[in-house]
Amino acid sequence: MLPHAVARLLKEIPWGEPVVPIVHDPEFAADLKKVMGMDAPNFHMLSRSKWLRTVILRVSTVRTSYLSERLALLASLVTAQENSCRFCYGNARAFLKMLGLSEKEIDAVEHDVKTAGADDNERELLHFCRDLSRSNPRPARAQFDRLVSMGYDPRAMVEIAMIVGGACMNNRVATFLAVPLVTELENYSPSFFKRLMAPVWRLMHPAPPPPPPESLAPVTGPFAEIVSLMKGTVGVVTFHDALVGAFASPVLPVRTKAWVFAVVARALDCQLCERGAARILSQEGVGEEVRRRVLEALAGPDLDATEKVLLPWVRETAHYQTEVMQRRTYELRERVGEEVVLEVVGLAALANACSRVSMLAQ
Amino acid sequence: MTASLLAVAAAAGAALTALMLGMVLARARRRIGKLERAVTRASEDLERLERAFGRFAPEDVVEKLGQGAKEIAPERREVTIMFADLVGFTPLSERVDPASLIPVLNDYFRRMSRVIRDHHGHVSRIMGDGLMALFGALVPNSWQSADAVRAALAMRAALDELNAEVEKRGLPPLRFGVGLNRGDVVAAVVGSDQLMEFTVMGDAVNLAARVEALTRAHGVDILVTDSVRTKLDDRFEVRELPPAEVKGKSEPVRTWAVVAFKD
Repeated sequence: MLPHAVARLLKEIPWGEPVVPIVHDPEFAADLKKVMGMDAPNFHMLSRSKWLRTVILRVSTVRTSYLSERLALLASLVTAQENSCRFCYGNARAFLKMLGLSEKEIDAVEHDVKTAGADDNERELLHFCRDLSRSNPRPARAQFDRLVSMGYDPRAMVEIAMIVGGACMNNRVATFLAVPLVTELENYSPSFFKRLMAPVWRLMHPAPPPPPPESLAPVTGPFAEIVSLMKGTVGVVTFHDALVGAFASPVLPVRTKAWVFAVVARALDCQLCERGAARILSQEGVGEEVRRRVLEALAGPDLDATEKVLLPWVRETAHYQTEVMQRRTYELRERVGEEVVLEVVGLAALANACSRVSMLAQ
Repeated sequence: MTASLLAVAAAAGAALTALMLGMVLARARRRIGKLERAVTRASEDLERLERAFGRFAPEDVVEKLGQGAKEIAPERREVTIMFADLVGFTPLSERVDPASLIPVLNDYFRRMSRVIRDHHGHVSRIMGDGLMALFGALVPNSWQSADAVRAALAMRAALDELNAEVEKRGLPPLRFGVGLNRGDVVAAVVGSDQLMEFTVMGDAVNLAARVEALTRAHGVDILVTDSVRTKLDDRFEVRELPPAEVKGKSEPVRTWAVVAFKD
């Protein structure tokens, strides 16, 4: 009914030149082939950051246990639409077509989640995804509880928060780095044979079984409070590994990473994330008074030279306009170099994801 | 023989009916196609409008208005309000040909709006040669006061740039006064079916307007209240001015002139 309306609008959004070069890495190519069945050249933009490339690959291909694959992809599509991410939007749309959804069905969802052809419950769910992605303000826990009372499995709801959080991360990495667009994916149209085989393919690749009981055990590591909100779902492992990988990376000091999380938490008014960041900052010797001062000004003598440049950029990552953000990221690259820019884009994106998932607690 | 003729006639009739039905269906499909294209265009326009209006009102407000909501519940929120007014523009407009002056005024608004947007604010209203801008009204913003003051300083620089061009045109340089205050306001969509706007109301708004007027009395261009100054770190150079009486306030109001920002 509304062919490609949003797709065309997204194409009106200028998309800049890549912020960092694509560096082909054979080891990463092998990982991509193993997980996705093919090498994806654009993913190699992230190849120089081992933790980030692993996280993005994992988040992009995560399979939910309680939430249907169709709903998971629809949630990703709505999130990409909200974040005006052409790259992820094209991907999500193509994957939905691979699942057998028609252009018409996808168009109806993307046009307006309130008037889409889906049933009332589904519309409500997608509305929740959009509010969570938008986070202006973040949806209250009551909205989550209402969906559970409508009949959604609470674990599926946790998975949807994880999917939206993960999609917010992917959108930010793709947008801030201006990952080259894959026009083949934007215009992808499956052949008649592929459409015919879609149900067979789904039968051959069923949803993974629920995570093992150990994922119900208390979670440790950075931001454990947030990770443990996803207990019993694949989200625990995905986010736990992402955070551990990010904080183990040697590119930036732990203190700087904690500042990144604290600033995003402040921008999104996420008290849980700010508490988690405060704990790490305290372990790194940053007292409460210094933390308060820095977070109020995003500057000050307590920050090192890199932090002084990074923090004002980080605050922009919560709510942004694509063109402005890409311009600011080019400027950041000129000041801190490619390696640091890649690192901070990943960290800020992960912090945004955590701040969204944390709504499960509030 | 008659039976054969009847059969042929029936077949011909059926064929004719099928042909006519086919033509009707083809016509209907063409019309549906046209309608679909029209709906798509309308849908694109709507999306564009929603995105454009998102720069002037919060996304959820735009969405509710788009769905035909007659009334939107007002909300209380903390914002930083900026009033900016051109000093001596009215007498100037009486002396100078409007054809020369209006393009300058439009250029002024364009430059100021860009600077305000770059600092996370949005122009809420334009009143003659003045404007009201809000920081923290569309998206919650912890750094709204620092953003607003940095915007005011960037506006000062933008005005200097504009004046270099204005003087080349043989016109006197423009001067402005900017007043800033922070406080709780009621944010609402007000107006009628004919004209409505998303705006803020309350004592904090009135005080920002009064403080802007005080710039003339104090002979400075950027003036902030205590509620803004307490949110500024020591990179902002401010100078305290004597408390002044303002309409609607029983106590004199303390203000600070903003001198510079040292990054």
